[in-house]
Amino acid sequence: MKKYNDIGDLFRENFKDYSPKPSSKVWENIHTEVSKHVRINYKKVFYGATIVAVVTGLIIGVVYLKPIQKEEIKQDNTVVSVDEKHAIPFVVEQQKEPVKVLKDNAAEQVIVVENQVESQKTIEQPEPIIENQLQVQEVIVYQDESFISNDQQLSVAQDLKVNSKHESDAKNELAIIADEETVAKPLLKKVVVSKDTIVCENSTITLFIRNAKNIVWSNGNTTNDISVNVSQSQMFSVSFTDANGKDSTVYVFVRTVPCTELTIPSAFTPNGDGLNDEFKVFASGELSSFELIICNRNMKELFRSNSINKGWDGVYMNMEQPHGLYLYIIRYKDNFNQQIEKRGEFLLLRN
Amino acid sequence: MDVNDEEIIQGCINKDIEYMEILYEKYVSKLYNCALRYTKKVEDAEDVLQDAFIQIFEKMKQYDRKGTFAGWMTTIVINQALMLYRKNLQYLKYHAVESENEEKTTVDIKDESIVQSDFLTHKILLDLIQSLPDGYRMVFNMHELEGYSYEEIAELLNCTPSTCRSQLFRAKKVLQAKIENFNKRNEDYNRL
Repeated sequence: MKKYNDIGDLFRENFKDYSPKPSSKVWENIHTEVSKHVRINYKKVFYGATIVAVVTGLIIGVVYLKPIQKEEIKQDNTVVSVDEKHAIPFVVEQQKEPVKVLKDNAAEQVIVVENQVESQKTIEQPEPIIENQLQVQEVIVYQDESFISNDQQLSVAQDLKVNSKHESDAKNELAIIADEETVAKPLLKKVVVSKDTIVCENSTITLFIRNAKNIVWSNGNTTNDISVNVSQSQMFSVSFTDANGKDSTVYVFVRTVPCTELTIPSAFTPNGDGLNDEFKVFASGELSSFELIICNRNMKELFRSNSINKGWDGVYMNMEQPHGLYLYIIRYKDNFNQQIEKRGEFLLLRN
Repeated sequence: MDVNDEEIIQGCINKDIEYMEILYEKYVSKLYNCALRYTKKVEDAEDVLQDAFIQIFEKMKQYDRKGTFAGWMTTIVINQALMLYRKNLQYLKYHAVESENEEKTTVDIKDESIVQSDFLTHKILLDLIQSLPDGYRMVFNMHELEGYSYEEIAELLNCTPSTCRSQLFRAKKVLQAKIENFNKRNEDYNRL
Protein backbone atom coordinates (compact mmCIF):
# COMPACT_ATOMS: atom_id res chain seq x y z
CA MET A 1 0.00 0.00 0.00
CA LYS A 2 1.34 3.37 -0.97
CA LYS A 3 -0.35 6.72 -0.97
CA TYR A 4 0.12 9.37 -3.64
CA ASN A 5 -1.09 12.95 -3.71
CA ASP A 6 -1.89 12.85 -7.40
CA ILE A 7 -2.67 10.15 -9.89
CA GLY A 8 0.08 11.49 -12.12
CA ASP A 9 2.59 10.87 -9.32
CA LEU A 10 1.41 7.29 -9.04
CA PHE A 11 1.97 6.60 -12.72
CA ARG A 12 5.24 8.57 -12.85
CA GLU A 13 6.62 6.65 -9.90
CA ASN A 14 5.56 3.28 -11.25
CA PHE A 15 6.74 3.72 -14.81
CA LYS A 16 10.09 5.26 -13.94
CA ASP A 17 11.79 1.91 -13.50
CA TYR A 18 9.44 -0.15 -15.60
CA SER A 19 11.51 -1.94 -18.22
CA PRO A 20 9.48 -4.35 -20.29
CA LYS A 21 11.04 -6.42 -23.04
CA PRO A 22 9.44 -6.57 -26.49
CA SER A 23 9.39 -9.81 -28.43
CA SER A 24 12.53 -10.79 -30.33
CA LYS A 25 10.57 -10.31 -33.55
CA VAL A 26 11.04 -6.53 -33.25
CA TRP A 27 14.83 -6.66 -33.48
CA GLU A 28 14.65 -9.19 -36.30
CA ASN A 29 12.42 -6.83 -38.29
CA ILE A 30 14.66 -3.84 -37.56
CA HIS A 31 17.71 -5.87 -38.49
CA THR A 32 16.29 -6.88 -41.87
CA GLU A 33 15.05 -3.35 -42.55
CA VAL A 34 18.38 -1.74 -41.65
CA SER A 35 20.50 -4.29 -43.48
CA LYS A 36 18.38 -3.64 -46.59
CA HIS A 37 19.85 -0.13 -46.76
CA VAL A 38 23.34 -1.47 -46.23
CA ARG A 39 22.87 -4.02 -48.97
CA ILE A 40 21.78 -1.39 -51.52
CA ASN A 41 25.44 -0.75 -52.40
CA TYR A 42 26.01 -4.40 -53.15
CA LYS A 43 22.82 -4.37 -55.14
CA LYS A 44 24.03 -1.40 -57.19
CA VAL A 45 27.26 -3.29 -57.93
CA PHE A 46 25.24 -6.33 -58.82
CA TYR A 47 22.96 -4.37 -61.13
CA GLY A 48 25.99 -2.69 -62.73
CA ALA A 49 27.62 -6.04 -63.34
CA THR A 50 24.46 -7.47 -64.87
CA ILE A 51 24.07 -4.44 -67.12
CA VAL A 52 27.69 -4.76 -68.32
CA ALA A 53 27.17 -8.49 -68.90
CA VAL A 54 23.98 -7.87 -70.86
CA VAL A 55 25.65 -5.17 -72.98
CA THR A 56 28.67 -7.35 -73.81
CA GLY A 57 26.32 -10.20 -74.54
CA LEU A 58 24.40 -7.99 -76.94
CA ILE A 59 27.59 -6.83 -78.66
CA ILE A 60 28.82 -10.39 -79.08
CA GLY A 61 25.41 -11.41 -80.25
CA VAL A 62 25.31 -8.61 -82.83
CA VAL A 63 28.80 -9.43 -84.09
CA TYR A 64 28.06 -13.13 -84.52
CA LEU A 65 24.54 -12.67 -85.76
CA LYS A 66 25.48 -10.15 -88.46
CA PRO A 67 26.43 -12.78 -91.13
CA ILE A 68 23.14 -14.55 -90.56
CA GLN A 69 21.28 -11.28 -90.83
CA LYS A 70 23.15 -10.54 -94.05
CA GLU A 71 22.03 -13.87 -95.45
CA GLU A 72 18.51 -12.97 -94.55
CA ILE A 73 18.94 -9.61 -96.25
CA LYS A 74 20.27 -11.39 -99.36
CA GLN A 75 17.23 -13.56 -99.39
CA ASP A 76 15.12 -10.44 -99.18
CA ASN A 77 17.06 -8.98 -102.08
CA THR A 78 16.43 -12.03 -104.20
CA VAL A 79 12.78 -11.79 -103.49
CA VAL A 80 12.82 -8.18 -104.46
CA SER A 81 14.90 -8.93 -107.53
CA VAL A 82 12.39 -11.57 -108.57
CA ASP A 83 9.75 -8.91 -108.49
CA GLU A 84 12.07 -6.58 -110.36
CA LYS A 85 12.82 -9.27 -112.90
CA HIS A 86 9.16 -9.73 -113.43
CA ALA A 87 8.73 -6.07 -113.76
CA ILE A 88 11.86 -5.34 -115.71
CA PRO A 89 11.46 -8.00 -118.43
CA PHE A 90 7.94 -6.82 -118.87
CA VAL A 91 9.17 -3.34 -119.40
CA VAL A 92 12.12 -4.50 -121.43
CA GLU A 93 9.85 -6.49 -123.74
CA GLN A 94 7.70 -3.49 -124.16
CA GLN A 95 10.78 -1.42 -124.67
CA LYS A 96 11.94 -3.87 -127.29
CA GLU A 97 8.73 -3.53 -129.20
CA PRO A 98 8.98 0.22 -129.49
CA VAL A 99 12.60 -0.29 -130.46
CA LYS A 100 11.41 -2.49 -133.30
CA VAL A 101 8.88 0.13 -134.12
CA LEU A 102 11.63 2.67 -133.94
CA LYS A 103 13.54 0.83 -136.59
CA ASP A 104 10.50 0.46 -138.84
CA ASN A 105 8.85 3.83 -138.43
CA ALA A 106 9.93 7.39 -139.16
CA ALA A 107 12.07 9.55 -136.90
CA GLU A 108 9.18 11.89 -136.14
CA GLN A 109 7.10 9.03 -134.94
CA VAL A 110 9.99 7.80 -132.88
CA ILE A 111 9.73 10.68 -130.53
CA VAL A 112 6.03 10.08 -130.18
CA VAL A 113 6.58 6.37 -129.66
CA GLU A 114 9.39 7.06 -127.30
CA ASN A 115 7.04 9.35 -125.50
CA GLN A 116 4.45 6.65 -125.60
CA VAL A 117 7.04 4.23 -124.33
CA GLU A 118 7.95 6.64 -121.63
CA SER A 119 4.30 7.06 -120.86
CA GLN A 120 3.90 3.31 -120.99
CA LYS A 121 6.88 3.02 -118.75
CA THR A 122 5.44 5.44 -116.36
CA ILE A 123 2.05 3.83 -116.50
CA GLU A 124 3.07 0.20 -116.63
CA GLN A 125 5.88 0.27 -114.16
CA PRO A 126 3.83 1.37 -111.23
CA GLU A 127 1.00 -1.02 -112.03
CA PRO A 128 2.46 -4.25 -110.71
CA ILE A 129 3.76 -2.46 -107.70
CA ILE A 130 0.36 -1.04 -107.02
CA GLU A 131 -1.19 -4.43 -107.56
CA ASN A 132 1.33 -5.95 -105.18
CA GLN A 133 0.67 -3.24 -102.70
CA LEU A 134 -3.01 -3.79 -103.12
CA GLN A 135 -2.59 -7.49 -102.65
CA VAL A 136 -0.46 -6.89 -99.63
CA GLN A 137 -2.93 -4.42 -98.31
CA GLU A 138 -5.71 -6.85 -98.96
CA VAL A 139 -3.79 -9.51 -97.12
CA ILE A 140 -3.20 -7.12 -94.34
CA VAL A 141 -6.83 -6.23 -94.33
CA TYR A 142 -7.77 -9.85 -94.20
CA GLN A 143 -5.30 -10.37 -91.42
CA ASP A 144 -6.77 -7.41 -89.63
CA GLU A 145 -10.23 -8.78 -90.16
CA SER A 146 -9.17 -12.11 -88.83
CA PHE A 147 -7.52 -10.35 -85.91
CA ILE A 148 -10.59 -8.33 -85.31
CA SER A 149 -12.78 -11.35 -85.51
CA ASN A 150 -10.45 -13.13 -83.12
CA ASP A 151 -10.49 -10.13 -80.82
CA GLN A 152 -14.21 -9.95 -81.03
CA GLN A 153 -14.42 -13.60 -80.24
CA LEU A 154 -12.01 -13.10 -77.37
CA SER A 155 -13.84 -10.11 -76.07
CA VAL A 156 -17.13 -11.93 -76.34
CA ALA A 157 -15.64 -14.83 -74.47
CA GLN A 158 -14.23 -12.45 -71.86
CA ASP A 159 -17.59 -10.78 -71.54
CA LEU A 160 -19.15 -14.13 -70.97
CA LYS A 161 -16.53 -14.92 -68.40
CA VAL A 162 -17.00 -11.57 -66.73
CA ASN A 163 -20.72 -12.10 -66.66
CA SER A 164 -20.32 -15.53 -65.18
CA LYS A 165 -17.80 -14.08 -62.74
CA HIS A 166 -20.26 -11.40 -61.72
CA GLU A 167 -22.85 -14.04 -61.23
CA SER A 168 -20.53 -16.19 -59.16
CA ASP A 169 -19.43 -13.10 -57.17
CA ALA A 170 -23.01 -12.24 -56.53
CA LYS A 171 -23.60 -15.79 -55.42
CA ASN A 172 -20.55 -15.62 -53.15
CA GLU A 173 -21.74 -12.36 -51.70
CA LEU A 174 -25.11 -13.86 -51.03
CA ALA A 175 -23.42 -16.82 -49.45
CA ILE A 176 -21.25 -14.50 -47.31
CA ILE A 177 -24.26 -12.49 -46.26
CA ALA A 178 -26.07 -15.70 -45.42
CA ASP A 179 -23.02 -16.86 -43.44
CA GLU A 180 -22.81 -13.57 -41.62
CA GLU A 181 -26.43 -13.75 -40.71
CA THR A 182 -26.09 -17.23 -39.36
CA VAL A 183 -22.81 -16.43 -37.58
CA ALA A 184 -23.82 -13.01 -36.30
CA LYS A 185 -26.76 -14.29 -34.27
CA PRO A 186 -24.82 -16.36 -31.72
CA LEU A 187 -22.09 -13.66 -31.52
CA LEU A 188 -24.54 -11.04 -30.34
CA LYS A 189 -24.67 -12.86 -27.02
CA LYS A 190 -23.14 -11.00 -24.16
CA VAL A 191 -19.61 -11.88 -23.15
CA VAL A 192 -19.51 -13.85 -19.93
CA VAL A 193 -16.40 -14.01 -17.77
CA SER A 194 -15.66 -15.74 -14.48
CA LYS A 195 -16.59 -13.69 -11.45
CA ASP A 196 -14.19 -12.71 -8.71
CA THR A 197 -13.65 -15.72 -6.54
CA ILE A 198 -12.17 -16.85 -3.27
CA VAL A 199 -10.33 -20.14 -3.20
CA CYS A 200 -8.20 -22.15 -0.86
CA GLU A 201 -4.47 -21.63 -0.96
CA ASN A 202 -2.61 -23.82 -3.46
CA SER A 203 -5.76 -24.92 -5.15
CA THR A 204 -6.40 -25.20 -8.86
CA ILE A 205 -9.18 -23.08 -10.28
CA THR A 206 -10.71 -22.89 -13.73
CA LEU A 207 -11.50 -19.46 -15.14
CA PHE A 208 -13.64 -19.14 -18.23
CA ILE A 209 -14.83 -16.67 -20.84
CA ARG A 210 -17.68 -17.18 -23.30
CA ASN A 211 -18.89 -15.52 -26.51
CA ALA A 212 -15.65 -13.66 -27.15
CA LYS A 213 -12.98 -13.68 -29.81
CA ASN A 214 -9.22 -13.01 -29.73
CA ILE A 215 -8.97 -14.10 -26.12
CA VAL A 216 -5.68 -13.48 -24.36
CA TRP A 217 -5.34 -14.27 -20.67
CA SER A 218 -2.71 -12.62 -18.54
CA ASN A 219 -0.80 -15.90 -18.38
CA GLY A 220 -0.61 -15.96 -22.18
CA ASN A 221 -3.27 -18.58 -22.83
CA THR A 222 -5.72 -18.00 -25.66
CA THR A 223 -8.28 -20.66 -24.85
CA ASN A 224 -11.80 -20.18 -23.52
CA ASP A 225 -10.98 -21.85 -20.24
CA ILE A 226 -7.79 -21.67 -18.26
CA SER A 227 -6.81 -23.83 -15.35
CA VAL A 228 -4.50 -22.11 -12.92
CA ASN A 229 -2.89 -23.04 -9.66
CA VAL A 230 -3.26 -20.18 -7.20
CA SER A 231 -0.78 -20.03 -4.35
CA GLN A 232 -1.55 -16.46 -3.33
CA SER A 233 -4.10 -13.76 -4.06
CA GLN A 234 -3.82 -12.74 -7.66
CA MET A 235 -5.55 -10.74 -10.33
CA PHE A 236 -6.04 -12.30 -13.73
CA SER A 237 -6.84 -10.22 -16.76
CA VAL A 238 -8.37 -11.32 -20.01
CA SER A 239 -8.48 -9.19 -23.14
CA PHE A 240 -10.95 -10.08 -25.85
CA THR A 241 -13.01 -8.76 -28.75
CA ASP A 242 -16.75 -8.82 -28.30
CA ALA A 243 -19.49 -9.31 -30.90
CA ASN A 244 -19.44 -5.62 -31.80
CA GLY A 245 -15.71 -5.79 -32.49
CA LYS A 246 -14.72 -3.75 -29.48
CA ASP A 247 -11.57 -4.72 -27.64
CA SER A 248 -11.74 -4.73 -23.90
CA THR A 249 -10.02 -6.15 -20.87
CA VAL A 250 -11.69 -7.66 -17.85
CA TYR A 251 -10.07 -8.42 -14.52
CA VAL A 252 -10.82 -11.38 -12.32
CA PHE A 253 -9.75 -11.21 -8.71
CA VAL A 254 -8.81 -14.54 -7.27
CA ARG A 255 -8.31 -14.22 -3.56
CA THR A 256 -6.83 -17.08 -1.61
CA VAL A 257 -7.56 -17.82 1.99
CA PRO A 258 -6.06 -20.39 4.35
CA CYS A 259 -8.59 -23.19 4.13
CA THR A 260 -9.70 -25.69 6.66
CA GLU A 261 -8.21 -29.01 5.77
CA LEU A 262 -8.62 -32.16 7.76
CA THR A 263 -5.99 -34.88 7.99
CA ILE A 264 -7.65 -38.14 8.88
CA PRO A 265 -5.40 -41.08 9.70
CA SER A 266 -6.20 -44.44 8.19
CA ALA A 267 -5.13 -46.53 11.19
CA PHE A 268 -4.11 -46.33 14.88
CA THR A 269 -2.50 -48.60 17.47
CA PRO A 270 -3.90 -48.30 21.05
CA ASN A 271 -1.06 -50.24 22.70
CA GLY A 272 0.19 -47.55 25.07
CA ASP A 273 3.58 -46.99 23.38
CA GLY A 274 2.93 -43.29 23.00
CA LEU A 275 2.64 -43.47 19.23
CA ASN A 276 -0.78 -43.17 17.61
CA ASP A 277 -2.56 -44.43 20.70
CA GLU A 278 -5.69 -42.43 19.84
CA PHE A 279 -7.74 -42.00 16.68
CA LYS A 280 -7.56 -38.25 16.30
CA VAL A 281 -8.28 -35.84 13.46
CA PHE A 282 -5.88 -33.02 12.68
CA ALA A 283 -7.09 -29.77 11.15
CA SER A 284 -5.39 -26.76 9.59
CA GLY A 285 -7.25 -23.48 9.66
CA GLU A 286 -10.32 -22.59 11.63
CA LEU A 287 -13.23 -24.80 12.61
CA SER A 288 -16.39 -23.26 14.01
CA SER A 289 -18.04 -26.57 14.93
CA PHE A 290 -16.80 -30.14 15.04
CA GLU A 291 -18.35 -33.55 15.60
CA LEU A 292 -16.66 -36.95 15.39
CA ILE A 293 -18.68 -40.16 15.54
CA ILE A 294 -17.07 -43.60 15.43
CA CYS A 295 -19.05 -46.73 14.69
CA ASN A 296 -18.22 -50.38 14.34
CA ARG A 297 -19.08 -52.33 11.23
CA ASN A 298 -22.61 -52.93 12.50
CA MET A 299 -23.11 -49.15 12.60
CA LYS A 300 -23.28 -49.20 16.38
CA GLU A 301 -22.07 -45.89 17.78
CA LEU A 302 -18.98 -46.40 19.95
CA PHE A 303 -17.67 -42.88 20.43
CA ARG A 304 -18.75 -39.27 19.99
CA SER A 305 -16.66 -36.13 20.45
CA ASN A 306 -17.30 -32.43 19.94
CA SER A 307 -13.70 -31.37 20.28
CA ILE A 308 -11.04 -31.88 17.70
CA ASN A 309 -8.46 -32.33 20.45
CA LYS A 310 -10.20 -35.32 21.93
CA GLY A 311 -9.61 -38.66 20.21
CA TRP A 312 -10.77 -42.26 20.68
CA ASP A 313 -8.51 -44.64 22.56
CA GLY A 314 -10.14 -47.83 21.27
CA VAL A 315 -12.23 -48.41 24.41
CA TYR A 316 -16.04 -48.69 24.51
CA MET A 317 -17.88 -49.28 27.81
CA ASN A 318 -14.52 -50.10 29.45
CA MET A 319 -13.96 -52.82 26.90
CA GLU A 320 -11.05 -52.79 24.53
CA GLN A 321 -12.42 -53.12 21.04
CA PRO A 322 -10.99 -55.81 18.82
CA HIS A 323 -8.63 -55.51 15.88
CA GLY A 324 -10.51 -54.54 12.75
CA LEU A 325 -12.12 -51.97 10.53
CA TYR A 326 -14.15 -49.12 12.02
CA LEU A 327 -16.10 -46.29 10.47
CA TYR A 328 -16.07 -42.57 11.18
CA ILE A 329 -18.40 -39.69 10.45
CA ILE A 330 -17.03 -36.18 10.80
CA ARG A 331 -19.24 -33.10 10.58
CA TYR A 332 -17.70 -29.65 10.76
CA LYS A 333 -18.06 -26.08 9.57
CA ASP A 334 -15.09 -24.65 7.70
CA ASN A 335 -13.95 -21.04 7.58
CA PHE A 336 -16.60 -20.22 4.97
CA ASN A 337 -19.18 -21.44 7.55
CA GLN A 338 -20.02 -24.28 5.29
CA GLN A 339 -21.28 -27.55 6.80
CA ILE A 340 -19.18 -30.44 5.60
CA GLU A 341 -19.67 -34.12 6.33
CA LYS A 342 -17.01 -36.73 5.72
CA ARG A 343 -17.38 -40.46 6.05
CA GLY A 344 -14.66 -43.05 5.88
CA GLU A 345 -13.02 -46.05 7.49
CA PHE A 346 -9.90 -46.74 9.51
CA LEU A 347 -8.13 -49.69 11.03
CA LEU A 348 -7.67 -50.50 14.71
CA LEU A 349 -4.48 -52.49 14.91
CA ARG A 350 -3.62 -54.83 17.81
CA ASN A 351 -0.79 -57.28 18.00
CA MET B 1 28.77 -4.16 -22.01
CA ASP B 2 29.56 -0.57 -21.21
CA VAL B 3 29.89 1.40 -24.41
CA ASN B 4 29.88 5.17 -24.52
CA ASP B 5 26.87 6.81 -26.17
CA GLU B 6 29.16 8.84 -28.42
CA GLU B 7 30.82 5.66 -29.70
CA ILE B 8 27.43 4.14 -30.40
CA ILE B 9 26.28 7.27 -32.26
CA GLN B 10 29.39 7.24 -34.43
CA GLY B 11 28.97 3.53 -35.06
CA CYS B 12 25.36 4.00 -36.08
CA ILE B 13 26.25 6.89 -38.42
CA ASN B 14 28.74 4.55 -40.10
CA LYS B 15 25.91 2.02 -40.46
CA ASP B 16 27.74 -0.50 -38.32
CA ILE B 17 25.17 -3.16 -37.49
CA GLU B 18 27.02 -4.21 -34.31
CA TYR B 19 26.72 -0.74 -32.78
CA MET B 20 23.07 -0.66 -33.80
CA GLU B 21 22.50 -3.84 -31.83
CA ILE B 22 24.33 -2.40 -28.81
CA LEU B 23 22.12 0.68 -28.99
CA TYR B 24 19.02 -1.50 -29.28
CA GLU B 25 19.98 -3.64 -26.29
CA LYS B 26 20.83 -0.60 -24.19
CA TYR B 27 17.69 1.45 -24.76
CA VAL B 28 15.01 -0.95 -25.93
CA SER B 29 13.26 -1.42 -22.58
CA LYS B 30 13.17 2.31 -21.91
CA LEU B 31 11.69 3.07 -25.31
CA TYR B 32 9.33 0.10 -25.20
CA ASN B 33 8.03 1.40 -21.88
CA CYS B 34 7.22 4.64 -23.69
CA ALA B 35 5.76 2.97 -26.78
CA LEU B 36 3.47 0.78 -24.68
CA ARG B 37 2.03 3.77 -22.87
CA TYR B 38 1.18 5.63 -26.07
CA THR B 39 -0.56 2.77 -27.85
CA LYS B 40 -3.62 0.61 -27.38
CA LYS B 41 -2.15 -2.82 -27.90
CA VAL B 42 1.16 -4.63 -27.52
CA GLU B 43 1.21 -5.22 -31.29
CA ASP B 44 0.86 -1.49 -31.97
CA ALA B 45 3.58 -0.71 -29.43
CA GLU B 46 5.95 -3.13 -31.11
CA ASP B 47 5.19 -1.62 -34.51
CA VAL B 48 5.84 1.87 -33.17
CA LEU B 49 9.06 0.74 -31.52
CA GLN B 50 10.24 -0.94 -34.69
CA ASP B 51 9.54 2.10 -36.87
CA ALA B 52 11.11 4.37 -34.26
CA PHE B 53 14.35 2.39 -34.22
CA ILE B 54 14.55 2.42 -38.00
CA GLN B 55 14.04 6.20 -37.88
CA ILE B 56 16.69 6.53 -35.18
CA PHE B 57 19.25 4.63 -37.24
CA GLU B 58 18.42 6.62 -40.37
CA LYS B 59 18.42 10.04 -38.74
CA MET B 60 21.37 9.51 -36.43
CA LYS B 61 23.30 12.21 -38.32
CA GLN B 62 20.64 14.77 -37.45
CA TYR B 63 21.06 14.30 -33.68
CA ASP B 64 22.20 17.77 -32.57
CA ARG B 65 23.37 16.75 -29.03
CA LYS B 66 21.25 19.47 -27.42
CA GLY B 67 19.20 17.26 -25.10
CA THR B 68 20.03 13.85 -23.72
CA PHE B 69 20.42 11.03 -26.19
CA ALA B 70 17.66 9.01 -24.50
CA GLY B 71 15.39 12.05 -24.61
CA TRP B 72 15.98 12.48 -28.33
CA MET B 73 15.10 8.86 -28.98
CA THR B 74 12.00 9.10 -26.77
CA THR B 75 10.84 12.04 -28.88
CA ILE B 76 11.14 9.91 -32.00
CA VAL B 77 9.09 7.15 -30.36
CA ILE B 78 6.44 9.69 -29.38
CA ASN B 79 6.40 11.08 -32.91
CA GLN B 80 5.89 7.58 -34.31
CA ALA B 81 3.08 7.01 -31.81
CA LEU B 82 1.53 10.33 -32.86
CA MET B 83 1.65 9.25 -36.49
CA LEU B 84 -0.28 6.12 -35.57
CA TYR B 85 -2.70 8.25 -33.56
CA ARG B 86 -3.35 10.54 -36.53
CA LYS B 87 -3.78 7.50 -38.75
CA ASN B 88 -6.45 6.19 -36.39
CA LEU B 89 -8.09 9.59 -36.03
CA GLN B 90 -11.05 8.64 -38.19
CA TYR B 91 -11.86 5.80 -35.81
CA LEU B 92 -11.33 8.14 -32.91
CA LYS B 93 -14.55 9.98 -33.65
CA TYR B 94 -16.45 6.81 -32.81
CA HIS B 95 -14.52 6.45 -29.58
CA ALA B 96 -15.00 10.08 -28.68
CA VAL B 97 -18.77 9.66 -28.74
CA GLU B 98 -18.41 6.53 -26.69
CA SER B 99 -16.22 8.15 -24.08
CA GLU B 100 -18.65 11.02 -23.66
CA ASN B 101 -21.25 8.52 -22.60
CA GLU B 102 -18.80 7.01 -20.16
CA GLU B 103 -18.07 10.32 -18.57
CA LYS B 104 -21.59 10.80 -17.28
CA THR B 105 -21.38 7.58 -15.33
CA THR B 106 -18.06 8.34 -13.64
CA VAL B 107 -18.30 9.42 -10.05
CA ASP B 108 -16.99 12.81 -9.03
CA ILE B 109 -13.96 12.38 -6.86
CA LYS B 110 -12.89 15.55 -5.16
CA ASP B 111 -9.96 14.10 -3.29
CA GLU B 112 -6.95 14.01 -5.60
CA SER B 113 -4.96 11.63 -3.42
CA ILE B 114 -4.88 8.00 -4.38
CA VAL B 115 -3.82 4.78 -2.73
CA GLN B 116 -1.98 2.11 -4.63
CA SER B 117 -2.78 -1.34 -3.35
CA ASP B 118 -0.43 -4.26 -3.85
CA PHE B 119 -2.69 -5.61 -6.52
CA LEU B 120 -1.94 -2.74 -8.89
CA THR B 121 1.02 -4.09 -10.74
CA HIS B 122 2.68 -2.51 -13.77
CA LYS B 123 0.65 -4.75 -16.04
CA ILE B 124 -2.63 -3.45 -14.67
CA LEU B 125 -1.55 0.19 -14.62
CA LEU B 126 -0.48 -0.22 -18.23
CA ASP B 127 -3.81 -1.80 -19.10
CA LEU B 128 -5.54 1.17 -17.50
CA ILE B 129 -3.56 3.63 -19.63
CA GLN B 130 -4.09 1.58 -22.77
CA SER B 131 -7.82 1.38 -22.17
CA LEU B 132 -8.12 5.18 -22.15
CA PRO B 133 -9.56 6.80 -25.27
CA ASP B 134 -6.75 7.70 -27.69
CA GLY B 135 -6.84 11.46 -27.11
CA TYR B 136 -6.91 11.15 -23.32
CA ARG B 137 -4.01 8.72 -23.41
CA MET B 138 -1.86 11.01 -25.53
CA VAL B 139 -2.45 14.04 -23.34
CA PHE B 140 -2.06 12.13 -20.07
CA ASN B 141 1.21 10.54 -21.15
CA MET B 142 2.67 13.72 -22.58
CA HIS B 143 1.79 15.95 -19.68
CA GLU B 144 2.05 13.69 -16.67
CA LEU B 145 4.84 11.33 -17.67
CA GLU B 146 6.91 13.22 -20.22
CA GLY B 147 6.32 16.68 -18.79
CA TYR B 148 5.24 18.45 -21.97
CA SER B 149 3.47 21.77 -21.53
CA TYR B 150 -0.12 22.25 -22.64
CA GLU B 151 1.05 24.53 -25.46
CA GLU B 152 3.46 21.91 -26.82
CA ILE B 153 0.80 19.20 -26.68
CA ALA B 154 -1.74 21.47 -28.37
CA GLU B 155 0.67 22.03 -31.23
CA LEU B 156 1.39 18.33 -31.66
CA LEU B 157 -2.22 17.19 -31.38
CA ASN B 158 -3.55 20.10 -33.42
CA CYS B 159 -5.98 21.36 -30.78
CA THR B 160 -6.20 24.22 -28.28
CA PRO B 161 -4.38 24.20 -24.92
CA SER B 162 -7.70 24.43 -23.09
CA THR B 163 -8.93 21.27 -24.83
CA CYS B 164 -5.77 19.52 -23.69
CA ARG B 165 -6.35 20.67 -20.15
CA SER B 166 -9.90 19.39 -20.04
CA GLN B 167 -8.91 16.13 -21.68
CA LEU B 168 -6.17 15.61 -19.12
CA PHE B 169 -8.63 16.34 -16.31
CA ARG B 170 -11.07 13.78 -17.66
CA ALA B 171 -8.33 11.21 -18.24
CA LYS B 172 -7.22 11.57 -14.65
CA LYS B 173 -10.77 11.20 -13.45
CA VAL B 174 -11.34 8.04 -15.44
CA LEU B 175 -8.09 6.54 -14.14
CA GLN B 176 -8.82 7.54 -10.58
CA ALA B 177 -12.30 6.06 -10.72
CA LYS B 178 -10.93 2.80 -12.04
CA ILE B 179 -8.21 2.57 -9.41
CA GLU B 180 -10.69 3.41 -6.66
CA ASN B 181 -12.87 0.64 -7.99
CA PHE B 182 -9.97 -1.80 -7.79
CA ASN B 183 -9.15 -0.71 -4.28
CA LYS B 184 -12.76 -1.17 -3.26
CA ARG B 185 -12.87 -4.67 -4.65
CA ASN B 186 -9.67 -5.46 -2.81
CA GLU B 187 -11.02 -4.09 0.45
CA ASP B 188 -14.21 -6.09 0.09
CA TYR B 189 -12.15 -9.21 -0.02
CA ASN B 190 -10.01 -8.20 2.88
CA ARG B 191 -13.12 -7.82 4.97
CA LEU B 192 -14.26 -11.38 4.29
